[in-house]
Amino acid sequence: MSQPPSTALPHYELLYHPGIPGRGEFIRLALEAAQTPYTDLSNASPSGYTTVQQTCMSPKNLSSSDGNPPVFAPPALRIPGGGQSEGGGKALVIAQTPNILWYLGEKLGVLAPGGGEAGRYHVQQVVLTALDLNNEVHDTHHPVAVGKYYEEQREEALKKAKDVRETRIPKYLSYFDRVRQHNERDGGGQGKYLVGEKLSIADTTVWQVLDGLMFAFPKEMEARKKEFPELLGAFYENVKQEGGLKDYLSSKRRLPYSMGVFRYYKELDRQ
Amino acid sequence: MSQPSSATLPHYELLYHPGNPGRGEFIRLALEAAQVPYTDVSNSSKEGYALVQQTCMSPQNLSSSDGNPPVFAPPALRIPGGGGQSEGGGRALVIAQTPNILWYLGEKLEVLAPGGGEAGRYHVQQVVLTALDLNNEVHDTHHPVAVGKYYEEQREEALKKAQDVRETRIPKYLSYFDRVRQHNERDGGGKGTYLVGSKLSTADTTVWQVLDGLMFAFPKEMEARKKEFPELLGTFYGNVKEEGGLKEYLSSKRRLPYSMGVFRYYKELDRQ
Repeated sequence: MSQPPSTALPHYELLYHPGIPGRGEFIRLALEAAQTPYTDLSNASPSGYTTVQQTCMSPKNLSSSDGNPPVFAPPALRIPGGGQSEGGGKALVIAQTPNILWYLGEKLGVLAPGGGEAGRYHVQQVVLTALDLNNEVHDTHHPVAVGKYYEEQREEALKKAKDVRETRIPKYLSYFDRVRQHNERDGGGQGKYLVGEKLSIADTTVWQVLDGLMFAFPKEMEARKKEFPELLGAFYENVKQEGGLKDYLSSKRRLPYSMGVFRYYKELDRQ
Repeated sequence: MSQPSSATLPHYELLYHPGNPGRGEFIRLALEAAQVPYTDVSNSSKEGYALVQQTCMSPQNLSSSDGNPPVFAPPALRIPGGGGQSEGGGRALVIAQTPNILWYLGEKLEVLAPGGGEAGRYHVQQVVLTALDLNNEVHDTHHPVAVGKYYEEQREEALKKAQDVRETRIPKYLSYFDRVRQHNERDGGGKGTYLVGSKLSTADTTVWQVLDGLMFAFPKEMEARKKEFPELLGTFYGNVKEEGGLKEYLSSKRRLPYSMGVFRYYKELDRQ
């Protein structure tokens, strides 16, 4: 990864589970798109996950770390020095994926949407909606018991997956595509960006959910490509070609989907 | 409601469904706590909901209104004049997604601004987002497998889901909210009554609302949990109700009762 022009950026630490893209991936994509150095703690060393567990997953913690408030669950972002370029100062630890993405959107110039204040909120509402879809996909294999295995809730999963595929996915795809069209018409988005004139976290976040959906429900998404050719074609492909992402997606840092949010169960796909 | 000290705040418009608290309630509580005038469009006139449907619920819209991007679903906040220009003029700004709106109001309404500078804003927001996640899980207890179908069509699955939520999820969230409260009591001047910082913030109003809804939806479960979390479900919960604008709001007609929204009472889904 190339160095950012300003050396004042802290060296971010991503605190997440090892071995899967998961929710951490939304944050990795933002950092990689901005070509900003960071450490993915769990994947960087064997003791990395222990730090994540102590900081983010201990049910009695009255603090995450460095005097910051407790965290409900990973992912979290640890910012040495609290983001203060003069050095010194406690580390800042923040949690919740959309919260971290807003933070990075503010700090990493390259991800800043145009359109002033309005642009930031318009990016964020797309980010939040994409993450809502991400949650609904998780529910397709865990509809009634978060802590039990998929195999223990197969019948319910069949019903839930059908509902998500038939009524929810199209609603979301329509929304993302209409945002894209609005921005093409009014915001200089050229049909490739969802908000503003260049890549933002709205693009990286929606892209990741689309990519995961294509893995989880390949037949469904193949069929939907006919209804949403620009979103699932041009938009999807363009994000992959952007700056830091092209390099990242072909690197070893990009982990394959396995048993995280996006899983392939043939019976849950369109038949 | 008393007038805000600055006359330059725009007259906010809440765009949400009529007749129940729902997600709109998180936004109403923030506005009411700050004692800021607003119009709850659906509940203020007969044509109000038609406007909400046109702006936020039309599946072909390429814009919500006033040139703003489309909205996925209510709630949305419409800010005449774009919210930043006290001279008037300028297009309205329309923003959507409950936590997004709450961040916006947290920035604009002094009284809700948490202390602790930049860090404080993010620490408030992670609590807000987590409370809204719990809100979603409660919705799933009566609609676990089909969002668009009735509860009665998914009763068996709902029994399983509600049991899982009551036994494993609610305690995890309550523990988290209470540890945040304790951390802030120890380190942030929260006195045990505020979750972040030394005065009421959107973290407090948002968690409060979810707790209140849970007490309606699962009264036996929450009665039992009060023994484990007496400060959160007792002192914290009781104090928020007494805060400035909220005390007046909660006894007013603007505060609608729960019915068929996120928080519903189904006896069979509660602890038996």
